[in-house]
Amino acid sequence: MNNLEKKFQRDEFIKVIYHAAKKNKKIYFLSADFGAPALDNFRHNLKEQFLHLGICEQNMIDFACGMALEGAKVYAYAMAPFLALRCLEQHKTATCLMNANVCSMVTGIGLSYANSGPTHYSTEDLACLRSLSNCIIYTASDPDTAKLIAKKTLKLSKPVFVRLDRKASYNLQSKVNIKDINIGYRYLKKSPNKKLLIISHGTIIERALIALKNLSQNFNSSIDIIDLIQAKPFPKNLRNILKKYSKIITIDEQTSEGGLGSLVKENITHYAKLESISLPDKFIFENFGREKLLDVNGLSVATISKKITKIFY
Amino acid sequence: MKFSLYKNKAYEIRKDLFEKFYLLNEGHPGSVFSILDVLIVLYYGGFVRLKNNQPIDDVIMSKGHATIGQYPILKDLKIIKNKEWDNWGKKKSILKMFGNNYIPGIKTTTGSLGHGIGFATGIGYFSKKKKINKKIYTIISEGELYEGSTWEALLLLADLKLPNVTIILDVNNNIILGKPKECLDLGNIKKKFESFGIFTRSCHAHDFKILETEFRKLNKIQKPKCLIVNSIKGKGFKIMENKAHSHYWSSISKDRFKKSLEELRGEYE
Repeated sequence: MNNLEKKFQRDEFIKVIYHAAKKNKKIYFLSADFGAPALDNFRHNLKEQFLHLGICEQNMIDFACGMALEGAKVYAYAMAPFLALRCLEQHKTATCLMNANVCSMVTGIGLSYANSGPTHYSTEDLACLRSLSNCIIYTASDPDTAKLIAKKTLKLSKPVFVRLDRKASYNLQSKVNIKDINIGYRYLKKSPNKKLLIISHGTIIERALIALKNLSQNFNSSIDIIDLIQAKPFPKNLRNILKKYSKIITIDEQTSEGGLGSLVKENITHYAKLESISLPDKFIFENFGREKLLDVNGLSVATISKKITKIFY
Repeated sequence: MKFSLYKNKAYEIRKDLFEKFYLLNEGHPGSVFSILDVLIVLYYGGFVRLKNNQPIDDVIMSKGHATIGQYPILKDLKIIKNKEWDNWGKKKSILKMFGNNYIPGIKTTTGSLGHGIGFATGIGYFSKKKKINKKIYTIISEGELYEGSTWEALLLLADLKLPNVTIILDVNNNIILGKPKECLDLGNIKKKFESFGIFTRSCHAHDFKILETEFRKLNKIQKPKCLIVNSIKGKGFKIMENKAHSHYWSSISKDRFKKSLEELRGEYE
């Protein structure tokens, strides 16, 4: 990993939008009582382009769509579990059905808000959002990816969901570039033998990289890792790439139902051995902090290593 | 002159719509006919202004099941092509039972309830920012007062003090399973709206003169406003008037179809 400085994905994202909004007065930022250090700058310096919508995600999305129909470019910002699910019907009827130029910043995915409990965990947002037609879904795995996704959203004029983590993190070793965002994925590791492919996204990908590092060189020369930046539409080119692998593992900080494992299964057209590593299909109540919660809920580095080893042979 | 125009349109459009319902054998006639006279005054009374055959002002049909009331008017105003209306129910047509923003003259997609005020507030807010002189009329049903999003939107609309948004609340005293009072009492709606800071008046929904006067008055009010229109569900058709079941079209015989049109003619002669 790039150990220069830990950064927050949301701040990196907002900074890009802030600089664009200074020049483009059609860009608006709406918040359902959700903040960020970078947002303070926006609120202070671009008062006319910021609106606090109260704690009501449903109306925030309808309002955003109304603005978008008049030509505004709107960013809607709230905590992931609420911005994804509380207003899911608004996303369907308003954002997606009307093809509105609204970008929803779904912030704090997975168990980001540990130890708040199931109400604050966003462990099914991918399954719910990707079931909506006519939208683009991005997931950021590190701060630089969040920054480039933000740049990309400025060029889009349709419904977009950007899934961001809560925690500050380092950039991954492999530097992301705008081409990766455009094609929807990036290789974090390429091997000569292409025996096994790991597909993941979000910060959980850090654990996949550690697990791989711990495994012997024998594995390393045969395993590839892809960071799936764009979950929807599923990158066309990636479908062809999947065909090259007879063994595929998905790693996702969502419940097992409808998440990344299901998404990859839907896009495989050949016979392949598939293993999905995710959170279990249950509500998580324990108070251990995020790292420990991931450890005890099927996403420990040891479990990932074990499953890689198992499928490898 | 204008009032005889309204009356003629009220008859002609009701007839067109009734024939279309009969052809399609589906739809929501009760809700369409309860709000139709309001639509006629909005469009033919100059409250919805047109430029190059396109509306300058927006009508958001939040009670999306009544959108089809707009189609014959938009056809008459040359915004929707005649062939789209004529083909509907026979051949391919862009017209649908619930409106969507791909249909000319229909600004928003509606169908699920409780979105209209939020849309109107967003449109009103940004058009005001752009200094565009545009009025937004959003038509909601009393049934939408059960949706929490309606009240969320009212809170914001009042806070933004938008003078360009008018809510038209169609109170026809019927939801699918009966009278709201007997299902879940909505209480004093006018007081509730006023308590949110919305300038609110009420009037009869089928008196053209009153409707015109009310819209003129409201247009002078420089804050968010609401006109509660007390309507008759299924207005114009004896088999439907003030009947909850008229929410959905029921199959009728050819004789009943003819008789209903005769009754309608009698009422508007």
